[in-house]
Amino acid sequence: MPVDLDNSSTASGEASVSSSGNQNPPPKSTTKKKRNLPGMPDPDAEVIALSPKTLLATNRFVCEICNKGFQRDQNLQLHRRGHNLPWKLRQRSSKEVKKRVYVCPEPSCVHHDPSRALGDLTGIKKHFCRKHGEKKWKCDKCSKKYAVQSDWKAHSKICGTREYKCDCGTLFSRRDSFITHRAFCDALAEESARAQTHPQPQNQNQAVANPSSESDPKVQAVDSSAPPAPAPTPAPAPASAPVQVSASAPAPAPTPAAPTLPQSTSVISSSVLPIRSSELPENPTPIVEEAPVPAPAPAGLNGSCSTSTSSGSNGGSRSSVFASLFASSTASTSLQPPQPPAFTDLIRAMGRPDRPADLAPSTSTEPISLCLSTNHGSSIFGTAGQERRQYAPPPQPAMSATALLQKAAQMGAAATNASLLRGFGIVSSSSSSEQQDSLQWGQRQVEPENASVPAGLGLGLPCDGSSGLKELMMGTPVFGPKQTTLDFLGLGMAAGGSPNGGLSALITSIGGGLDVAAAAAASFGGGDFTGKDIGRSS
Amino acid sequence: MFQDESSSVTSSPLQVFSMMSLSPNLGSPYPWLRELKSEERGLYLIHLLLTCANHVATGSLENANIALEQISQLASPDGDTMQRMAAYFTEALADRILKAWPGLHKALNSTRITLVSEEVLVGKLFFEMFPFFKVAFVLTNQAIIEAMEGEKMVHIIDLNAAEPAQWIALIQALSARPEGPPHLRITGIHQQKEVLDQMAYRLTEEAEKLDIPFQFNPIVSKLENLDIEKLRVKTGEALAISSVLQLHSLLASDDELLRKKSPLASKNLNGIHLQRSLQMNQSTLGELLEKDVVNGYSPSPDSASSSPLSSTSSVKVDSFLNALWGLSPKLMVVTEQDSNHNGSTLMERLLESLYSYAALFDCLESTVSRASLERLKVEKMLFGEEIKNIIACEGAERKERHEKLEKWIQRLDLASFGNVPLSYYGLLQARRLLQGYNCDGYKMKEENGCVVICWQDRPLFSISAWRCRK
Repeated sequence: MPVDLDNSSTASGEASVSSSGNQNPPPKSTTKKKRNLPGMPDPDAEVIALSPKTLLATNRFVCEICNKGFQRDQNLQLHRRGHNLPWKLRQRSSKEVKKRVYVCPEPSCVHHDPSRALGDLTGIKKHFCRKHGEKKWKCDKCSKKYAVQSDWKAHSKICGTREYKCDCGTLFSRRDSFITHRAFCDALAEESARAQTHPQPQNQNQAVANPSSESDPKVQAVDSSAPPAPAPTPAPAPASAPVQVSASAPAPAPTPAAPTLPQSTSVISSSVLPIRSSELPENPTPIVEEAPVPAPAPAGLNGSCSTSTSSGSNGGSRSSVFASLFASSTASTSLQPPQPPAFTDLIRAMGRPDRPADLAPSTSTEPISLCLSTNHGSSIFGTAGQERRQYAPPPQPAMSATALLQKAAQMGAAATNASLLRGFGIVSSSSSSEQQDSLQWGQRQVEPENASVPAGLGLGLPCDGSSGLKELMMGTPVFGPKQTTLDFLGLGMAAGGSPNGGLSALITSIGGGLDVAAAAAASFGGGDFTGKDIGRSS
Repeated sequence: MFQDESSSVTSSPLQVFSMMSLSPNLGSPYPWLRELKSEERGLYLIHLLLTCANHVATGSLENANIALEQISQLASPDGDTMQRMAAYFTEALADRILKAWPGLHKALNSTRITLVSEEVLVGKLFFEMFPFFKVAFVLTNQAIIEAMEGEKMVHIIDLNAAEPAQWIALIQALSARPEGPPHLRITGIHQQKEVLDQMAYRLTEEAEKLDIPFQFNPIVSKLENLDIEKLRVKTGEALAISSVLQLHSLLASDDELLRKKSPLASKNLNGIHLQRSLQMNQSTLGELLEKDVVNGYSPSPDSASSSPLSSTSSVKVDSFLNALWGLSPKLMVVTEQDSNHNGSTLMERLLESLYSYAALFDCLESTVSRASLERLKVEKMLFGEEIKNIIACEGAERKERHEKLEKWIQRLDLASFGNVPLSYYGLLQARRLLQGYNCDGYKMKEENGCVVICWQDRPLFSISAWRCRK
């Protein structure tokens, strides 16, 4: 049932438009289409009111043979040629095209009035969709919904790439809007007022360089700003560092007190960041405030560290915070050395009894130790578990089975990177059982020793994988080029690999054992495959 | 014994290793198992499931037993998603192990009662609780309406006539046609007579209400034994076929036998298989093939064997599709699960089905409460049974041979069906329906004119429309 093609009907002549259009519209020239100033339609234009159906319709022109939809009749006609159907291309009307403006059919809308008509058909369509349509397009990463597909696309490109965060919690993807906002932000004003009480003659550019002199007031500042804290992870990707550093320059002049706050927090944050940045690739949790963080380790990290980092971000000028943060974390070579002394200072400072203990020593030092000691692989069952018991688990629903499987796959992938050789042995034996024709040689060699887990590794292995393996086993043990094959087989994959590959990798890691390694080594023409060779490839 | 790979077993290092890799700080097994938090427990369950499946695949039953024991401490049909899934997956694995002792297996299953009413109820629950069938019905109906525009005599064949709602909706839509309703015949195929009776009653009632000339023909038969003649397709009527989750069971065949026969030319293999199948199912396949030859359309053995798909096992489905093609349907709408549960090894199938059923179980978790008895029934009697079939069965017994959409497209294309893209209006209706469910997780995407319904990112069901390509 094709959508009715309800053609436009002229609602009125041009006269009624002129009430607001008395300012001088630019003269029409025949050579080039001039754009009218927004909100002031051409008084001579023809006002057209389209029905909601027409406005919402996409692909109004449908081919009767194959039901393919087109937005323009011309396209449909050209398509019909392919079906050997009669077609006709309409020429543009030879006379001068009359200028048209469009009104919104929704009576309550501002643009329903012809004096506020929009000049563009696409524009009115998008307007109608946006304001009066249902939001059918949803962003994958956050919960924003859009009625217009182009809006949605534009947003998806931006979503998750936000780089700037104000204290008040607002995120910005554009620097200019971020700066403008900061200038007027209430929260900002509050913080700087509070920071007045701690006189700090600190230059923000010497962020990490002079930690010791500020340890006391720094810590105090941290404490005082800690309570309003728990904002979600404020640390955007380190890649934005250069931008941030420059952002600090044109920032509105921070109060003298402000810059010191960042110092302390930058110290804390910088200790967190290097770890967290390693977390980021594995757990691309979007920076959304309400998103329940799925993985416990980063959650633990976030939960524990956010108090310290957000307290930092609650300090004076964010730009300087970020500047110092990123300067310290990304310019790793130059700024690594200052970290340890900053740490010890911090810890010392934290341990002082005269501090109001908002940040109990345990909670501030633990995140640091957690950050330092954890690695994402063992964190689940290791320290993070204990960490989580101390901080009340975030109020999120139980992890879905799908998420659990993905996590298991990632863990398996990570584990497999270490057990390349074992995976090797397993693949050979299982593939040999699967591909009878291609792996005769391997088959003879491997079956006697036999892997303890010939775990049908046809799992998620693409069919071509076996040919790669065959090559591997038949040919000389040249590991260089084979690296890619191994990756292709899902053995050396990064966390971004396919879930199936990951789970199979998990199996290989489970199934690994000395026997398998020995079997693999023995099977490949003995002696040639020393640990050295294998090591070289991984 | 279903031993996929012959192997000697080195059990202990494996055991210790798998234990060690996950719980370095914890000592002896059982006491701490109960204290695991939900997520840790979930991950551990996955780990155990994989380990257990490994053991089952390699035939190390002792270790499989230990793994099952551990899983039983953690899994539960009343728990969270992963616990429930683990319960059904381990039941399937246990069933698989038990099949090694056929006598034992039969004895344990001999007193099982399967009530038709319960099955029907579960089918209805699935229809109600999930939007999948509804979306499939909407798309099917819309495709039929569009294809039958202008037709005066319409005949619809439903390969599994269980849910009257689909056809009631179609009857209503047809009665509202601008050119007036057609003369409508619906032929429903099902294995239980009671279901067909109920359907006949509901549909006839609806048609009388709307004053549409209508006729319902029930056929009580298994699909693989279907006698095409019984369908009574008349010349001059426009035929539409609706297949909802029916074609995959036709992929079941005696794979073991076929694989052992010969690793060489598939033609040879097919020849043997054809012979065997002719001998075994003389009243069905044989007749089908003969009839097709008589009708002038002879599916050559070559065409069946040269299929790049799992060529040997697809003879049943190929001949079925050919038979359908022989009826010259104007439209055939196929709804199938969009997952690859037809791998040849246990581990392949286990991994795929873990993901697919995780999505389905998650879906239930998000939409129905844990205490719901209906949810339990669907999980146990529908998903649990499917999982059992996928994991525990082999050969002709393994009916739940779900395959990805691409494979179905290939297969249907080979059977000389041409794809008909689903129309924009149909998609719109389907999307609206999904949105009406008010649940974020349901997604619908369109691929090459076919529709795939997903839960979050996981494709679950695909719907595609086909016409007879001469």
